Parts: sequence; structure tokens; C-alpha cells
Amino acid sequence: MAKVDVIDLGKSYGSARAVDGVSLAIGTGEFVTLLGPSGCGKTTTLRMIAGLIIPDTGRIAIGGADVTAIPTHRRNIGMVFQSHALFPHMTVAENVGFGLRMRGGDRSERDRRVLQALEMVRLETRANSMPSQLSGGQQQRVALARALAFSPDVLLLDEPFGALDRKLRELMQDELRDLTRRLGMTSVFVTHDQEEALKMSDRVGVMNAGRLEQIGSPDDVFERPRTRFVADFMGFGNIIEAVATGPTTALADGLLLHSETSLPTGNITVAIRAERIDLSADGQPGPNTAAGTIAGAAYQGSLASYRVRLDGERGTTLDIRETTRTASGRPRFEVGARVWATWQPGAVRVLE
Amino acid sequence: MNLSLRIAAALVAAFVLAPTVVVVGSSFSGGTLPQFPPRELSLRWYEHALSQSVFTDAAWNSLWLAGFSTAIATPIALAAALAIVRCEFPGKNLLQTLLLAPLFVPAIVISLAILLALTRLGIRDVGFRLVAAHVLVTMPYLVRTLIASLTRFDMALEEAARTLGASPLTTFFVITLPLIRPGLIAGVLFALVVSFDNVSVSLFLTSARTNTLPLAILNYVEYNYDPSIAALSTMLIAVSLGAALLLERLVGLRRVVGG
Repeated sequence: MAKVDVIDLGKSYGSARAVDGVSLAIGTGEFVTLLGPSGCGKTTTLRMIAGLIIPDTGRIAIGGADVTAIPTHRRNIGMVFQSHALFPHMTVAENVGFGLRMRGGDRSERDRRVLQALEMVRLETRANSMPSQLSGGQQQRVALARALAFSPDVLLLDEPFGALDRKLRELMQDELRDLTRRLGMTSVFVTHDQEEALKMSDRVGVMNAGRLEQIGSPDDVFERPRTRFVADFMGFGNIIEAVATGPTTALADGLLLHSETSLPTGNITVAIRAERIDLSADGQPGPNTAAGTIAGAAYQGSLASYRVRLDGERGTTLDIRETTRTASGRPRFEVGARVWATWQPGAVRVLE
Repeated sequence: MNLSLRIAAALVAAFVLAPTVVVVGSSFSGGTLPQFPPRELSLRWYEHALSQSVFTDAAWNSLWLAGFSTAIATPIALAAALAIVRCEFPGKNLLQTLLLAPLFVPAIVISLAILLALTRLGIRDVGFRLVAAHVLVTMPYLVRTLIASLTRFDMALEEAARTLGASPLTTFFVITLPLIRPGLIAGVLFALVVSFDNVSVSLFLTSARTNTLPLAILNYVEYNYDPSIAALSTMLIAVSLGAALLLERLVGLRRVVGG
């Protein structure tokens, strides 16, 4: 187990910059997730840490030692692939023991550690099965045991649960997190699934267009996005252009915004999470309160979502999500209904 | 399958197999002329064929030639297929076309070209000439099956092996080679068969003293008409059938032909 330092990493394909100046310091035993849409550079970054892609610029250090020029097979990393990548011509035990076999050493010691790794993922009874005889979840657990059996310095995971169904995925997330915590394993996890990232990580790095836009604790990136992209990716729903009118107030299309924190001057962009807005049938004008008309209402199971067109000249709309409250499950407001939207000053986030 | 389709299939099969049935049947003739159906059953022409040194010598030549050329062609084809599937380089399509060209260019043209080229280079040794030519004509079969296997190969497996500590060379021998083995075996068997029954290329390059089995048969039937040729042919059919069955058992013939 070791810390991982990524310093100013860059990689281009032709004129496209896949990874653009990414720096990242991952502490020993820390679980860091790189989160972003496909093509944002998260997988390329992970593969550069693994040594499967050679960076154009920047350095990578594992446990303080520069490994930028060290080939993959001498980096002592464990990696789990989305496709499992189990060797189809080897048994489960042979797969798990592969890393130990490559490192040489005593046969009985190897057998012992293979069994230990299989016990870790509760598959000790399937040691002599072939990978094709296992279910998708079991295969992914074997892949995990294989990546951990030789005690790597760092565990790299490239969307490992992408191919699993939702229930199994959640189970595997819990198991993986338990395991890495128990082992104190430094882990870098790549996913495009926001929920997965928030649930599992010590820190989440949100990537966009090859750059690391923001890195912080799950609640940091979820509640306090710094950029429009992060706010959008975290599902804020409402990103509004406004003009600051005072230290904590701003005006957007006739709507008076009141913030808890001080605002910069001039044109600003603010984000308000769709779940933080309350709807009611009556109210009165004031800060963080606006009248409008329901322009859309949708049933989403446990949630109901509304789109409210405010009375302002620009016809600004707000997206609002709330827990379904009616017994029938139908939305509380019909399209065309007059409503008041209101939110706490703390819900207003200023973006860069 | 409905009835008319079954009948059509049976007719086609009969048409394809009829000559073979005649050859196999007449190989058991007891008389001095091939007869079908044979009036009396006998193995004397098998004995006769196997006692003729023109045939046995030629058969050994053919076997050596097939084995030797395949052994040389296989590593070259593997390297070429790896480059074509895995790498990007200028002239890649041209290389692929050139390696497969012996499949499309008329055999007589290739044979003549090889003869002229080897003569020009001053290479007179018959064995060397034959091996060089057979490497050329067996190459496309190996390249084609190996490209098919390598294209299907999941690169993540090699990457996984490397992250687990396997060097590129170890990865190739422990992961890649075992997994493309079906395609490799298929290509090798194809190459052996293609070399073994090649007539056109060998025709231009053999000498009076060094002959291959197909040419020995051809020479023999020019002056003789007895069932020993039918007996030889039957033995060859048995060997080919054996190879096809082996292929089917190992990899599935359909996959190889379709690949």
C-alpha cells in the first residue's frame, strides 16, 4: 500500500487533448474516484497510472518512487477491468495465482495466498472452476481477488461494475469498499455513475474535457460545486445567470436571489439544486421566492418533478424535484396551475 | 428442412461425392483395369502402389516438403498477422494484400514467376526451390486464419497479464499463444494440406530425381492405367478426411472456413 502522486499529466491523440494537466495526490489507503462523462479522460488517466498508456507530459509516482518510465509489469499495481478480463484457459485459482506466479516464489505459499484471496471474496469453493462457469458477479469477484492476491501498492478499477445489474452492482460496491477499507488499500476507481462515486469514495475528482474540474469529499462536489460543469453533472437542475446587486443579493429576470455567502460583483452564475426548492399553492413576493406557472409535471416513482415558468420577462424556468406526497402518486400540481417556488439562502451556490 | 430441399441437398451431395465413390470402389479391383463396381475385391493394388519406390520416395518428399515449408511459414505468418492486426503503419493494407495474393493470382503465373526469380538468383537446389515456393503458397492460409483469431482476441487479457507482472514476452507465450491456438492449428493443417497436394507450383520446380507425390501420380497415369492410382488416391482421401475430422474436433471446421 502506498500513496500515488500524479503530477501535471497530459496525453494527446492527434490534436485532441485526452488528458490535460491533471495533478492528483492520493494518500495511502485513500479511495479516490475519477468521475465524468465518457471521453472526459478519466480512463486514460487511470491507464497512465497503470502504465498501459505512456503520457506525453507529466510524472507518476507510486510510494514516492517515480514510475513514469517503468513498464506496467514492474509497477506492482492491481487492476480490475470492466470486462473482467479473466484468462479463459485457466481455472479460478490459476487466475488468482497469476500475479504470484509471475513473482516467483514458493508453491505452497502461493497456494495459501490464493486461498486467502478467494476467501476474501467468498469464492474458495470455486477454486477449480473455469471462469466461464461463473456468473457475472462471481467473475468480477475473481478479478478483484486476482488483483489483490499479490498485495499490490495500489488498486486500479476501471468501471468494474458497469456490466452488472443494479442490485448486484450495489452489493459489489459495498463489498469492494469493505475490502479496501479492511486492507487499507490505496484505490483509484473510475466511473461515470455519480451515485456510485459519492457512495464509495473518500474523495471524488470530477473530470471534463481532459481536465480535473474539482476534487473533494463527496459532499463537497455534490453540495458545493465550483464550476457550471460540476453543478450540471451533479444534477443541480437549475443554473441561472444573474447580476449581483449587493454583497449577498442578485437579480435574475425579476427574481431576487439571496445568498448565505458573499457574492462577487457583476454578472454571476448561480446554481440551485432541484430538490431544495419548495412548491406551494400560495405565498408572497420576497427574496428567494417567485411566482410562476407549472409548465410540466412528471411522475418518476418515488419522485415527482416539475418545471415552473416564472413570471419574469425572460421566461426563466425552474426545475423542481420532490418526494411524491399524494396517496395516488399523481403530481400535486397540474400543468397550468399557479404556484410559488421558495428556497433557503443556503441553497444558492455561486459558480466560477 | 422440407422434402424438396432434402432431395436437392442429396442430389448435390451425390454429384460431389460420386467421383470419389468410384475411385474408392475401383481401388479394390482385383483385375488389371480399374473397375467400378469391382468384380472381385482385392488389396493387391494397394500392395503394388506401396511397393513402388516412385510413389514411396515421392510421398516422403511431399511429407518433408509440407512439414518444412509449414514450419517456416508459420512464424512468419504469425509475425505478419500480429503486425497487421495490432499495429498501425504505412503500407499495412498493401502488406495484407500481398500476403494473401497467392490466393487470387493464377497458380500458373505464380509458378512461372517463382521459377524465373529463382533461376535469376542462381538458386538451383531443388529442395530449396520447392520449400521457398511452398512457403509462398501456404502463407495466405496461415495469415488468414491467424488474422481472424487475433482480431477476435480480447486485448484486455494481455493488459491484465501485464498489470499482474507478466513481461510482454511472457504474456505472449502464456496468454496470447494458448488462446489463439485453435486458429493456429487450423492454419497449420490447411498449410500442410495445401502444400501436400500442390501440383502447379511443384511442376515447374521439381527435377527428374526429386518428385512430389501428386506429380508422381500424374506421371504414372500418363503411361499406365491400373488401379494402383485409385489405391493411392484412396489413401490420400483417408489422410485428408482424417485431417478434416481432426480440425473439426479441435476447432470446428465451420468456424475455420467462416473465419
